[in-house]
Amino acid sequence: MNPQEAFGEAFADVLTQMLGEDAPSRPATPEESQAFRRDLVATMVLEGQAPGLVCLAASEETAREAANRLLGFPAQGPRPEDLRDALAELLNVIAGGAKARLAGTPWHFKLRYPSTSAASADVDSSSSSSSFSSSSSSSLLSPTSFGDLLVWFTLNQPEGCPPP
Amino acid sequence: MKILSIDDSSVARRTVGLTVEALGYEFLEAASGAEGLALLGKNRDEVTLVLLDWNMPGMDGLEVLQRLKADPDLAGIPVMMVTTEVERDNMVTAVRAGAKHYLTKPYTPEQLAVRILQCLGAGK
Repeated sequence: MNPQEAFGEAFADVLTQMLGEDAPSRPATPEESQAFRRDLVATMVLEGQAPGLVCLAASEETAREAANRLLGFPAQGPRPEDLRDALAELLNVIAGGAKARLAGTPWHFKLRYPSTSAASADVDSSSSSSSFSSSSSSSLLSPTSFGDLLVWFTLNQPEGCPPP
Repeated sequence: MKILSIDDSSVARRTVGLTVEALGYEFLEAASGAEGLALLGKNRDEVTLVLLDWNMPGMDGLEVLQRLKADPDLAGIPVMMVTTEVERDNMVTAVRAGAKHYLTKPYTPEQLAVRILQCLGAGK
């Protein structure tokens, strides 16, 4: 299994089991891959032979819907901090799922703790990966539904490992 | 009867709490291993199950489990790991350290409810 398949399957699992969406993830379109603007971004550093980064980004509206679904639609609605925490938890589970799928491969990594921030500017996936080697595996995944939730990841290519 | 969730994610704890309360149990929550052990110390006679995350800042879930099982007053409380750590080595490590069950994220509320009831010996 390669990183794109691993993150794609992990993302699909999260959509189905945590958010109740029956929608497999798909690679983002070229337009979506150039840059994406979202209100909130959760980020996690990946450590290992192929270090990298994974992000989950969403508009405030999509993050609120995710928090609502995770928390069973609380009467008062989710708190502002719930939106960030929901994204961080979803990212944690996506990264954990991808990690398990890549166990035993050269792409195997360890998780760090997710952090979240308000995205005040466009996230340019091509420039964001500039700190990684030119042979890194990088991809943007988007669901077919459920708002504008996007997963972006990049992993440095392990030594001696052919491109995925 | 009380069920304690130890997880650094507020959303994860509250998600667990919805299922726990729907099953009719009282829900306790702690945002760290240290807080969880302190809460257990105060509620040792009432907590019937601990749901424990693995990846937490500071004291991780495995260390919490080891400390809990090393304390004669707490060692009898069943622990279920609820975590993204799905690799076989980690599962074996947790069970050897005393975890009774192991539930990997993501899970549905129904899957969590079934595991909780299994842990508590429902139907026996």
